Amino acid sequence: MKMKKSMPDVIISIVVLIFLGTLFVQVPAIPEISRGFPLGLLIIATVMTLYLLIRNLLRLKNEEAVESKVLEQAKTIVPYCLMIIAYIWLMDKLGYIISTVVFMIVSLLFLRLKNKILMIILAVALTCLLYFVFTNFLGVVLPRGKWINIAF
Amino acid sequence: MADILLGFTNVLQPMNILICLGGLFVGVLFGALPGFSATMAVAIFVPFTYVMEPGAALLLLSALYCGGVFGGSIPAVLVGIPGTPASAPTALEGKALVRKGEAGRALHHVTLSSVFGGALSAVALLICAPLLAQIAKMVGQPEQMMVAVFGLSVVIMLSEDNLFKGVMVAIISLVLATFGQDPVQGFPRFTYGFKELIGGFSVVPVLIGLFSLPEVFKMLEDPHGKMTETGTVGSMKLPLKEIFGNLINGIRSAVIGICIGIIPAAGPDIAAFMAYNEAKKASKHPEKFGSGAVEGIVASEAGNNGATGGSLIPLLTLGIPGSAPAAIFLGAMIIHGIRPGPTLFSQHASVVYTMIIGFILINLLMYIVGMIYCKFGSLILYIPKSILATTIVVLAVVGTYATSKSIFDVWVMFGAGLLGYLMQRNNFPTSPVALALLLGTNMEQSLARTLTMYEGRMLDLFSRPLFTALTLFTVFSFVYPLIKMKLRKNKKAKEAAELKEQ
Repeated sequence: MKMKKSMPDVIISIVVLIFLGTLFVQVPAIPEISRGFPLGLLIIATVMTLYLLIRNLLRLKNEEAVESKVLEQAKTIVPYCLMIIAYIWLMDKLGYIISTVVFMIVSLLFLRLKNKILMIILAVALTCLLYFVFTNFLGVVLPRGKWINIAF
Repeated sequence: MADILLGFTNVLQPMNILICLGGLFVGVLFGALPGFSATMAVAIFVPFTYVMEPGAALLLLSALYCGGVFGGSIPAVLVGIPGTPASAPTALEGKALVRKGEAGRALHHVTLSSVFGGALSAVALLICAPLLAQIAKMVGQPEQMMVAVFGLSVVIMLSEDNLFKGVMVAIISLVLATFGQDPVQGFPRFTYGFKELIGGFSVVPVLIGLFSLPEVFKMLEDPHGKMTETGTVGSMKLPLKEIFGNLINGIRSAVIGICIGIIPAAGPDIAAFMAYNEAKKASKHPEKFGSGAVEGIVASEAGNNGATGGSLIPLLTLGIPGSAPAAIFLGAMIIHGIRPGPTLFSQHASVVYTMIIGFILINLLMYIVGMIYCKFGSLILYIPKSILATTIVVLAVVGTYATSKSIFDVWVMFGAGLLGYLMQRNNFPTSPVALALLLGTNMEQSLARTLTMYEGRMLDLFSRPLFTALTLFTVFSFVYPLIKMKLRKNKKAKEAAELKEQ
């Protein structure tokens, strides 16, 4: 895939401007006494982002597109991100133990660890070790599932 | 003098040495686990000290504190996850050295400079406490505000390669730091309707995400075949020339740490960034920072450990706890019938000098404990990347959850990680995010209070000697790197022109 060098900065600037816009919308609801500091920062941030956008838009005209590996890398990174999202979501539903064992096995499969026995032993052992250290030694109650609850 | 000798005698009792070693082993573990901190280590163990002698109790808490501050640097080097915010600058350089196969060298420098910074701060605690207490007395809201602004000047050095983007990231991060209740009136701002955002963003989840997940995503950029690769630790031996070559850097950083430590609300994390910044300014090769500069590691570690002793100075001499660990120390001391303040050194000399001399011993013992942890911890590099990446994700998630028992913070950590990766890919420096989040709230609070105190007579601020000195430092800190950068650019352009002529 070919892409111009300044294109990512243009996209980032637009996303940041939208984000800053959502903050500007909330400013009138803030009492005047609490508004000054964030508003000042918001204005500076917006001016700087606009400058970055305009500078890169101007550069974009004179640039030639170069080969980029973004799509190729996204094929690995995007599914892995989805796996992490599923892991965090499942942790709330199935609890720490089940979700972590499942995530570790799926992650190791995805990353092509060949030894399947090691994979299962590792997933179970690390999950239990962390559970023991955090729960028994450090006194942290790890998430218990809303749907299923396995805890020792 | 007799009190100091009595302190020595108490500390050198076998039981007290064992307490120091035990405290260090546990403290380092707390620091090394993402989501745990030195403060938590001290807090958890306060109930255990109820049954102990006051001197031994304070030794245990001191060992936990020093070990906790040091421990955060081990994962910062090995996997790029700073166990505590104070290790964030170490992670910048440590990761680069690990990539070069020099993890052993990095870890030895981490241990040595931590010991050096900590020991120097303990000596300062022993010798200069009364003098430094006078400085601590001069610190008010205006000075705290200037310290925060001074801290932000670090952004300029951290983003030297891309100054505009660095400053922009810092400003946007300062906006993020204003999320949640405003520090003066308590009005919730920018919460998007999430009750979890009323308290604002917690710094630790953001830092865990920002420094750990991008490493995982970078591993995933490689073709799948490389996921079975392992790293190398390299030799832990350090040439004497390299150690002594960093002596001035270590002393300067430890002094910065001590001075930052005595300022209320500015702890090891800010000290580490500031010491790193000053080391980069003073370095003959500032361009090497960010790509595995040992000077950066030495500065960061001597700085953050230097703050450990410094943070106890206002507590012991004035009875003012300037940081969270100092507040816990205060609680523990009161439980044992010791009230810190100006009369402490005369009324409870034995206990206080046991603690201060113990602080020196603890920092020296930290070398042994630290090297043991580093030796075993470095084995992590022999783990294939597929297993390492999976483990980092699990540790980051569990560590973040442990800080606040909130799944929302885990989502924040994931968001910060993704953002950090996108920023790194597009040459946006990530360190200003950490710095702005650490300083933002304090800056706004002290600014608001200063404006209230000096409404309409801002020039009167310069009648405060420390404020004036800090303002001058801040101006210098903002301007000097810019001039240095400009001169370097001119020199490069001149050299290029000469080459062309030839």
